[in-house]
Amino acid sequence: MKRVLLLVMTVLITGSVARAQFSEVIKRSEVHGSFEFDGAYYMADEGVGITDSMINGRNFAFNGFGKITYTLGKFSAGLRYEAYLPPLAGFDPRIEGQGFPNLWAMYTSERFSFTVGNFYEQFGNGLTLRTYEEWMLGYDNSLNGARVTFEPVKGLLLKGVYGMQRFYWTPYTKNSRGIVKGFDAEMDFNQVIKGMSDSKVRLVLGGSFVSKYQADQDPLYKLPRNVGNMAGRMTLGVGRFNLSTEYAYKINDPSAINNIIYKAGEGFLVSATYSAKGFGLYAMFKRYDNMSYKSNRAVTANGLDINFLPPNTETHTYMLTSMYPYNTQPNGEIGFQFQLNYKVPKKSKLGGKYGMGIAVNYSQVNDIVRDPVNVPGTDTTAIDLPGTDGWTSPFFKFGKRIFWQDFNIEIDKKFSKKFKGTLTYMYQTYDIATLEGHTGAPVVYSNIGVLEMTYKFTSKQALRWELQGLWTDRDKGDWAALLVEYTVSPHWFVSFSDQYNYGNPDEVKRINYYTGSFGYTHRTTRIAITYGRQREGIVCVGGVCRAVPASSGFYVTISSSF
Amino acid sequence: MKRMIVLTVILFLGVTIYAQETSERKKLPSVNIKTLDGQTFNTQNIYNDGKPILVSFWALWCKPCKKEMDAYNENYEDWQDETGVKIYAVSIDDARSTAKVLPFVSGKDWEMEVLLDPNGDFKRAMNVNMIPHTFLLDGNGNVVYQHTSYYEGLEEELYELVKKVAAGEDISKH
Amino acid sequence: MKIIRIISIIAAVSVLFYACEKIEPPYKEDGGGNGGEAEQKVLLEDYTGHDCVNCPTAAIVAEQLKEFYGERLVVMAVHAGFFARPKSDMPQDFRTEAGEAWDGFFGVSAAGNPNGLVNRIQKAPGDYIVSPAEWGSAISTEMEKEAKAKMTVHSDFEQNTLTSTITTEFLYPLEGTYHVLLCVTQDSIVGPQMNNDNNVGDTPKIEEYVFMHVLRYTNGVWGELLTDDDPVVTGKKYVMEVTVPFESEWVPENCHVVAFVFDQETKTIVQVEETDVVE
Repeated sequence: MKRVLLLVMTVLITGSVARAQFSEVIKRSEVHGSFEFDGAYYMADEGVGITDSMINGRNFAFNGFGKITYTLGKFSAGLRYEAYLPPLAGFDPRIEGQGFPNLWAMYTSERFSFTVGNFYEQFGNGLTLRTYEEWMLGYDNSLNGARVTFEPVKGLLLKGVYGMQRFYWTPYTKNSRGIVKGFDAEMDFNQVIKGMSDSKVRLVLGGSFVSKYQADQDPLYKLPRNVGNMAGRMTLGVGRFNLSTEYAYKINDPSAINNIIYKAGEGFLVSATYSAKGFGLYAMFKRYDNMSYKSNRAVTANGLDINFLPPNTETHTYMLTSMYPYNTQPNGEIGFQFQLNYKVPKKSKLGGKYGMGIAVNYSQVNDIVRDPVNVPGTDTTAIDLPGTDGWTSPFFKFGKRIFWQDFNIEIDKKFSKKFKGTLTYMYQTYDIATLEGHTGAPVVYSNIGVLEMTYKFTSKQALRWELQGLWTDRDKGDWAALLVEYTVSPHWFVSFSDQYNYGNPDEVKRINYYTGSFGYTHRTTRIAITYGRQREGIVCVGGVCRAVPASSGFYVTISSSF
Repeated sequence: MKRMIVLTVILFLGVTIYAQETSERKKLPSVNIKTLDGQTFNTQNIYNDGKPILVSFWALWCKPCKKEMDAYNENYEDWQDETGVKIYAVSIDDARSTAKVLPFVSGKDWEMEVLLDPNGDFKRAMNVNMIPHTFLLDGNGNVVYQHTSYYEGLEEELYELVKKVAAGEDISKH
Repeated sequence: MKIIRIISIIAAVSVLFYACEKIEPPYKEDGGGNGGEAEQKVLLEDYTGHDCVNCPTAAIVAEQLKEFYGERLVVMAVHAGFFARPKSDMPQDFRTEAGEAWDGFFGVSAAGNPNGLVNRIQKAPGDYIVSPAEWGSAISTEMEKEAKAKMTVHSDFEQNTLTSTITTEFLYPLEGTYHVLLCVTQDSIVGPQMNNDNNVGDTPKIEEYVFMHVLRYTNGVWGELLTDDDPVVTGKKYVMEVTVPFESEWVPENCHVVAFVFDQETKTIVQVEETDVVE
C-alpha cells in the first residue's frame, strides 16, 4: 500500500514541479476531490437523561474525510483520508482513529480496465458481492487488492476481483480475515446477438461466483476454509413490462451469525414492473435463507460483509415514518412488496390544474418456516443447534412470525403556483423484538399521518412545514412532530423541528426532542449548524442499520467538492 | 512519519490545484452504469449534440431531489424549446429499490432520461457527497457549473445559467 | 495481447474453482486437553450480564471449550456493564468493583455483550476483545505456546475465611513488572437470565438459570505486586499469601480460587491456575 501512495505522490510531484516542461501533461491532468467534516459538541441534558458522567469528558466528536482523484488520460489514481477523533455518537467505536483507508490506481481503456488498491464493486443485486461505502453510516467494506474488467465483445462484460476487505483500522494480518475472490459475467443479448439489436425484447443475463478463504483454527469444529457463493440473474423487458430476478446459492458457511450451522444458504429476488405514461406498477418477492456471507466468520456486528441482502421494504424519510425502520434478517426472511404510482391527469376533476400524484405501497416480511434436522451422533432433532445442518425450510412457505407490515399511501398535489402539499398515511406492524433485539417486547402496531405543505412567498423564498403524528399503544406510545423550514434560494435555509413523545406511558419520558438549524450553500459547498436534541433511534441505509443513542448539543457539517 | 506524508501530499496537491487554469472538471469520467432496462450504459455516452446538458443525482428516498426533478419536469418542455437542454437524472438507489425507479418515474410522468447508478460508481467518480447534486455541462461536454442542495425556486437561477451556456457564454466566473 | 488477457482470465477463473469446501458430518473435532506440570493454561473471561439475551449462547460455548480442554482452560464469568445492572424483576447483583473496572479498561461491554478476553492478549495494540465465535481459535493459539511460568495454589478454608498461598516460579527471565491477581468464582448460582436461544432454555427469560464461574471477589483491581525483580529470577519460588473473607451468600463448596500472574503494563497473562476452595 505504501507503494501505491508513493506512486500517486510521484505522479503528483512530477506533475506540479515539472509544470513548465510538461505543461501539456499538466493541462491534460485533472485533480478533483471532495471533503466533509461532521463535528459535534455534546452537552449534558437532564431532560433527556444525559449526565456529565455519561459524557465522561468526551464532549467533542469529529468525523471527517477528504478524498482526491487524479486523472491523466487513461490513468487515474486516488486516495481518501479519514479521521474519527473520536467518532460521532452512534458510530461503531472501532472506527476511532485516522489514516488513509483508501488508496487506488486504475487504468481504463475502451474494453479493459485494471484497478489496484481499494475498490468498490457490485455483482448483480449484491447477493454474492457488494463492496460500497456509506459515509453517514460509517460503512466501508472496500476490497483491497486487484480488479480486472474485460469486454471481449461489445455487450459481454467480464469482471474478476481479488482482495481483502477493510475492517475499520485493523490492518490485514494472516488470520484476521479471509481472502475474497470473485468472478462475474454479464451478457446483454441486444448487443451481443446481432439479430436482437432492434428487438422489442430486452434481455440481460448474468452470473457470478465468489469464494472466500479463511483458515480453521477452531478446536471444536471442522470449519470449511473455502466457502463459495454463486448466483445467476436475468433482466427481461418486453414492451411495458420488465422482469428482474436473481438466485444465489451459498455452500456451508458456519459462522457466528448463523450459530455455526452447516446448512447451505439461498437467496432469491424477483421483481416485475409495468410502466405506462403516468402509471407505474411494481411487485416483488424475496426470500433469504442463511445468506449472511462475511469474510471473517467470527464477526457479528456490522463489518466484513461480502454480500448485500437488499430489504424489500419502502425507505421512509419523515421523522415519524422512519422511527421504526426495517433491517434485513440474514438468517431467514420471506417477503413481498407492491407499489402503484399514478398521476391523476391535469385539468381533470380530481387532478386540478397541475395534476395529483398518488402512490400506494404495501410490504410484508415474515420469518421463514424452520423444520428440525438430525443432530449428528444422536437420534434427536433440533433447530439452529451449532454443529448441525441447522434446519430445513420449504421454499415458498411463510413462517408464522411477521417481522414487518407496512401499508402507506401518499398523495401530493400542487394547488397553485405558490402552494403545494403532500398527505401521507401509514399503518405499520413492527416486530421490535426481532428487528431491534428487544427480546420479549410485544409487536408494535402504529398508525402514522404526515401533512406537508409548502408556500412560496416569492420565486425565491419558501416556507415549508410538516405536521406528523404516530399513534400506538406499544413501546414508547404516541408521538407528535412538527417541522418548519424557511428557504431562500439559492443559498440559505433555516429550520426548526420538534418531536414530542406525548404518549409515553412513563410520564418522565415524555420528552421534547427539539432542534434548530441553519445553513448556507454556495455551489458545491454546504455548511449547516444544528443545535438541539437527537432522539435515540436507528439510522438505516439499505438493509444496514445502526443504533444511535440520544444526544444533545451542537452539530456542524461542512462539505464541499471540487 | 505518516503525518509527513499527509502534509506533503496535501501541499503538492494544493500546488497542483492552484496551478491549474480552472479547477472545473473537463469531461465526464468513463463509468459503466445502467439504463432503466438494466442494460449497461457508459457515461461517455452522455451527449446532446453541442447543446447544454444537466446531470442530476437523485434517489427515491431523497425528498429534495424529487422536488428538484419535479421542478425540472414542469419546465422541461419550455426549456427544451428554448435551449435544447437535455436532462439526465441519475438515480443512486441501490439494489433495495433500483427496480422501483422505473414504475416511479412512469407514475410521475417524468420526461427526462433516467439512469441507474446502483453502487454509486458514477457518484464517487464525480465526487458527489450529498444529493441532490446537479452538474451543468456545456456544448463541448465540459462541466461548467455544479451545485448541491435544492431550495424552492433554485431551478430558475439554474435555467439562467443554462441559457447562457446555450448561447455559448463563459459562466466560469459565476 | 489478447491471448494474454484470455489466459489470465482463464487462470483467474480456475483459481476460483478449487474454492469450495463442503464438509460432511460429523462436524465436530475430537481431541482433548491434557493436564500437566509446566503446561500453558489459559484464562477465558466471559463478560456477561443477566439482562443480555445473547449471553446464554456464549456461556454454552465456554462450557463446551471447558469440556474440551479440561483443567487447562479456566473460565471466569465477569458480570459487568449495562446488562449486569439489577432490575426490578432481576434484583440479583453479580457485579464486582474489579469486574466493572476491567470492563471499563478493556472496553468489553462498550463493544457489546457477550464478549470476552483470552489471557488478556492484545490482538492489536489496545484491542483485547475476543468475540465468542473466536474464543475457540484464540484459546487454541494460546494453548500452543510454551509455558513461561508455573503456578501452584494451596487453599485453607476455615471459619468463613479463605487463606490462599500462591507460588509462582518463572521458567524464563521475563522483563517487566508482574502482579498476581487472586479471584474467587462461584458455580451453581440459580437466578433469572434473559435469553433468546430456544436451544438453551426458555425465551425471553430463563427463570432458573444456573450461573457458573461467577466472579465474586478479587484482591484489588490489578492484584498485588509479586516482586521487584526485573527481570524475574528463573527457578526462584515467589510466594504470596492472600486472605479472603467470605460473604454469607457464597457457597464455599461451589467456589474456586483463580490466580494469575500478569505483566502490569501490557496486562498479558503469563500463567493461570485454578483450585477448589474446599479441597
